[in-house]
Amino acid sequence: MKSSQRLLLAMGEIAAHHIEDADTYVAPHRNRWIKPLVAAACVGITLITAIPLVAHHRAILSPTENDFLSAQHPAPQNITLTELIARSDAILCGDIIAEHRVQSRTSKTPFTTADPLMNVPDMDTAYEHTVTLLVEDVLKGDVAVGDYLDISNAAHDTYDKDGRFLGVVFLGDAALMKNGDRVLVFLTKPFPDTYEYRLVGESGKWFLGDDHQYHCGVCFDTRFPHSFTPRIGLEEYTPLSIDELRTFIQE
Amino acid sequence: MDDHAILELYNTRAESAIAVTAAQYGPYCHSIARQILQNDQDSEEIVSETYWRAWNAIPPACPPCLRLYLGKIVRHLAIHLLEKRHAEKRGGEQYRLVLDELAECIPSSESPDAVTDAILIRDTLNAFLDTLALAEKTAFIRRYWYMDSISDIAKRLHKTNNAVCVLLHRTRNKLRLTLEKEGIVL
Repeated sequence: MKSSQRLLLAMGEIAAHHIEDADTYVAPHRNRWIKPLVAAACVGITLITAIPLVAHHRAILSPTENDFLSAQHPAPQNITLTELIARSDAILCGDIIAEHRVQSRTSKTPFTTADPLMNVPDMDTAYEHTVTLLVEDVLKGDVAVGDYLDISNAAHDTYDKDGRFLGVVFLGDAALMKNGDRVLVFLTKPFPDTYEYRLVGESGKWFLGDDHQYHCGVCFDTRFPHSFTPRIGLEEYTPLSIDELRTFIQE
Repeated sequence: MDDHAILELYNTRAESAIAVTAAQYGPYCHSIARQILQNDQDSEEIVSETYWRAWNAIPPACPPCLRLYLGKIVRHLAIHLLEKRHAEKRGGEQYRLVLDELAECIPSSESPDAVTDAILIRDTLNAFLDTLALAEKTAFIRRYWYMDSISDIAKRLHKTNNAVCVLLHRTRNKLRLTLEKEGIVL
């Protein structure tokens, strides 16, 4: 007989009170309403979380009258990165633009930092001024793309039209693309608790978007050329060679 | 009819003792047999055999609790029948599972002072069960005395199957340590 069989038989000899205990023990019943309550709470939390997000998302994609940009220029909804890049013959991006403009209008100090907002009262003001003025300046010819290429100590590195690699673009950048006499400007706008990006201008036309690819995509990440895809992380970023970039733009 | 009256029937050799026993404790005995054997026909035979054993044993036996006395007989007979079936490779799925689980409790037999005394084993088991919390003890006894399925125990304890498995696993480990400490070899 195996040991386990002997143990099983030995179990038969245990004291009666143990068996009676096992016969009579009734486990305290867990409250039956806890599971439904937890489920209801989960649904509630989901709704509470999702509804504002959806509403916010819709607001981003559907500009309102309060949106100073879209109020002036109703936004086409479906511009793609491919279309955007394909229209351009020059690319400059990164918050070097915003920073330059903000700093030049506030402190007049030389560019020293990557933070474009440090000297302005609020983010919206900074972007509004920066983008508006930038577009105007570029269209008037007062500002050329090359004007910004010397700012090489920016924390945000980008390609310029000549293929110089300036670094990595971060959240909150403004970016500019020039194509002949047309200028594309977009602005990536970090909201307090989420990352959203707004494409704000194309030669006075305004576009709205909320995808990370507006940000680093327009600058140099053309791995997803066919459409906007879900947000990609900068850690995934592999710079294209300038030849690849040029080829892509020419296509 | 209470146990005292039933035992009096046995003591006076009144044949109605068995009928009364069957009426009073038949369902309990059947439930144990069915749980272990998973077979109605075998269970029926085992329970009948139990009544016969009780008839022959009382007197002189005078069990303080007739229900548990009968239960032990049923369990014992059912296990022996299952061992036979097991040898023939037939049936007894729950039995095999229980044996596999209990194998975890078997201490190593390397100690020269190891003993296999049945009384010591019983006393050790009783002492061990005394140390368990009620839920833990219930799970252990339902599994290894009644051979209830895990899901039945889970229902009884209002726990998930997984929680019961974990509970039993921990209890088996405790038992193994206790048996090792006592130098018991099975």
